[in-house]
Amino acid sequence: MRKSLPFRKVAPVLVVALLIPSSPLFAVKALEARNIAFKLQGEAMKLYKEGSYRKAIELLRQVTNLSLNSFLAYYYLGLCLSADRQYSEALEPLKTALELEPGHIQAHIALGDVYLKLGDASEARAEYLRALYSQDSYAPAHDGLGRVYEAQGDDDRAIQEYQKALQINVAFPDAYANLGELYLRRGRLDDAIALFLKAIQVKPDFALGYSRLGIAYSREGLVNQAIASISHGKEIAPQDPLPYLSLGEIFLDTGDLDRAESEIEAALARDPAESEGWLLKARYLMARQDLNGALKALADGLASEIRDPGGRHALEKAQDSYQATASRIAALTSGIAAAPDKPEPYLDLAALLCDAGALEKAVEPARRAVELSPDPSTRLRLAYYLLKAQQSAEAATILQELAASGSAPALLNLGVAQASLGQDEAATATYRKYLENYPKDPLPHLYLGNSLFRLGREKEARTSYQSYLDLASGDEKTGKVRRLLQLLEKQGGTP
Amino acid sequence: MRRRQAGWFLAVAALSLFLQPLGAQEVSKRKGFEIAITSPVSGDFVFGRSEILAEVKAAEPSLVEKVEFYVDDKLVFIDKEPPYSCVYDFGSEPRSYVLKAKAYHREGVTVTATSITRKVILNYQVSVNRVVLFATAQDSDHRFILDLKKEDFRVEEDDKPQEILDFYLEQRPVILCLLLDSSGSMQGRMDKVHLAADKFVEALAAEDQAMVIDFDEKVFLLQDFTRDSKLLKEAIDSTIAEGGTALYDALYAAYRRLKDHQGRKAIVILSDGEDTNSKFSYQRVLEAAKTNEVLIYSIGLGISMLDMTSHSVLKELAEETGGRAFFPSKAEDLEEVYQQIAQELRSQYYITYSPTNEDWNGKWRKIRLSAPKKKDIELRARKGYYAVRRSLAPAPPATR
Repeated sequence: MRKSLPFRKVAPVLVVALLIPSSPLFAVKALEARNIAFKLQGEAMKLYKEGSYRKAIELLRQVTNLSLNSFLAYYYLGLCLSADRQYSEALEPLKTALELEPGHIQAHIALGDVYLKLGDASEARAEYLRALYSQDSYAPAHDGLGRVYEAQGDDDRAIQEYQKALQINVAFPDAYANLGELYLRRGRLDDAIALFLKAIQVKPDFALGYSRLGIAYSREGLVNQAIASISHGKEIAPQDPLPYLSLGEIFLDTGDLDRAESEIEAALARDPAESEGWLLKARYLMARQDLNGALKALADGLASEIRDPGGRHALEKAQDSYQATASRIAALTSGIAAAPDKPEPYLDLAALLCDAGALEKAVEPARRAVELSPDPSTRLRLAYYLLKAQQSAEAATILQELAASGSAPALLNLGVAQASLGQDEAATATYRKYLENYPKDPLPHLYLGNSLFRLGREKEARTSYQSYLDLASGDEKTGKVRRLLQLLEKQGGTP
Repeated sequence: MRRRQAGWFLAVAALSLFLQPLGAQEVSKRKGFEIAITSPVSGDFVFGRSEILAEVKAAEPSLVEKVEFYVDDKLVFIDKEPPYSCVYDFGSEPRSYVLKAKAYHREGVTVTATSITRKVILNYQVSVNRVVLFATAQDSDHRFILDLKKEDFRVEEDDKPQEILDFYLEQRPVILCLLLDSSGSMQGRMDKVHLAADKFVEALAAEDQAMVIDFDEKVFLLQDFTRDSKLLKEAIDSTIAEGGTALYDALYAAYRRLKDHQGRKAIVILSDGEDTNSKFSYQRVLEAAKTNEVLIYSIGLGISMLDMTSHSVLKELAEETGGRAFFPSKAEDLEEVYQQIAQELRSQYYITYSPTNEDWNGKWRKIRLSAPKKKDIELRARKGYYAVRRSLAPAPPATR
């Protein structure tokens, strides 16, 4: 029979030691090895369950240095390393664990997950299939295969695998969340929301589910619901950085930079090795017009303990992109210094700054270009950058002049400027005027619908939305409008 | 709140669409029709150009239309005649491949077999196309012969003669793993084991490094690599006999500990009986012996020819690696055995050659070492290697 508790060995040995005075001095070391390994392993497993992965890793490394064939020690060491995003380091202990217990299904799944994180989809797939050959109806293995196929760009097979996982286990939150995530990526917002709702229904404390649901809501434009959902996830897992990041992203998208900053900093305080946090911080700093700060954030991120190769790669990619922007800005600035009277470099600089998210900074060179060349086209571009920077009043003035001289794009943008100034009556008239000449252009119908909706003219709004749907090709935006129409009908037109 | 209700409504509607019935499952066996991949089987490792072999059983074999072979879902071959097989180039590194063989019956049904190969890191050192051998020569009285010259040796690989490149008497330090069986059956003999192993440690050269692993049904590292014989002896002397025997686990653990070390490596294992508790199989340990450049010296205390399994296991492991197996009948003989091993480690030739066969196809190649002009001489060296080109650092220069 296999000995399960090393201390069972201690008692008889101690008796022997007392009887034979010459041996106890030397017997201590072998006994110590057994006792220490047993004690440390117990402590480490407790730490793992508490989420103290780094402390658990320290102890488990000591155990695996002593007890060379302990499946549990290697398995938990692999799990802790993986949870701490030390994926490369997690491979060996998990492989050793599987050498010791080749039929251990969870260890196959854990190893598959690590391979997938390291970008080795072939080995990951093999591990999930091995788990399936040990137990043919094992939902996490199908879920893993779904993630493999998704990583390989084969969404159809991924969907099939997630569905198999859910068929086997209808209360499997991860598979709902993963399938939901896939649909979210593909713009199937309703389906994604349904799945996230199901995930949190089967697991009410599923913090990830609330976060992802929040993101889906925000994509739908349901910002309040999004914030409520993610905040609930935050209450469930206050130490998890993900809800903070999700909120940070939403606040960033809605232009609430102070709250975005607070959430991003809170996320990074909880996990400085979370690459997404550094990426978002860089984005936030760009929104604050601080390119150098954004580059520093990315450099700080890369200097932190991020071990996830995918995360590092994303940071490096962002760094390259921001550095390219910085170089182009430098080149354009020196071009402007060399030839300060040409308007084109100013416009190029404005476009670059706008694309990089520095919206307010984009206005300045555009204004200078207009000073140098006040032609309609340059003024239209200035108005566009003013609109993007939410300086709608000045934009409206310029657009009014341009529209009066017959510019169709100026007329349409004038409607947008009026709407953003809360002048929906004026905007409605402007959109209608534009549509007299361009009735087949879908977007003005949507904008008109929005203005009418805000004015409480639901019936007319529905007609405009319907016109938009009839003219526009299917995308995420049409999906939203379709759902809004359905909602209006269900709720009797009440906004 | 109303919005939330709408969300739940959507969830119910959408989920009914998500949960479609599972599609038809692939099966390997139907009534009177079945298929199996007989080579490589799951858990094998493959590389180079290797054959995939499928066995199809059908009540009426002529009604088997064809067998399709897939590697990682890619159709690689269709065989219409038995024996159903295909050759596929798996590349130079063994990794996990999902192999499928799908047999079609003329009546329209199919059966599918799957085999998943294993990823393996091969540690055998063919550094920059150079094969390294540690060879031992003894005369008929078991005395070590230390004055042989390069010209005295003949190396053949798959029966083809090879030119010896490096040749000298090895004097570099050895990295040793000392494995001690402390299972219950060793009770009453441990004092003698301690004494013999202690003397072995004392006999090591000052630069040699050793570690001590103690195993019963569990495997414990009592002393990591050190040159300090006092520490090694303390670890050895602390072992107590109790419990079962996890011989293979201990051997595999030793390989894991040795893999990050460069140089001449050896495992000296003492055991008195059959493995009773290992989680590793003998096959896996033998595979490790073949893919790692580690000499094994096995000591089967009280194991006679009649203990067929234990005897053959210890003997095969030693012979495959170029080491040696000893079967002392009583603990009193251990001291002499350990001394012979210590002496052998100081009496080895370092030989290298560059294989004439440059097809690095991953196949096992047999090595035969002989001294044609010398009579009554026994030569030991490893039996072969897997032909995988590896870019390891070149061997360190000889000391003389």
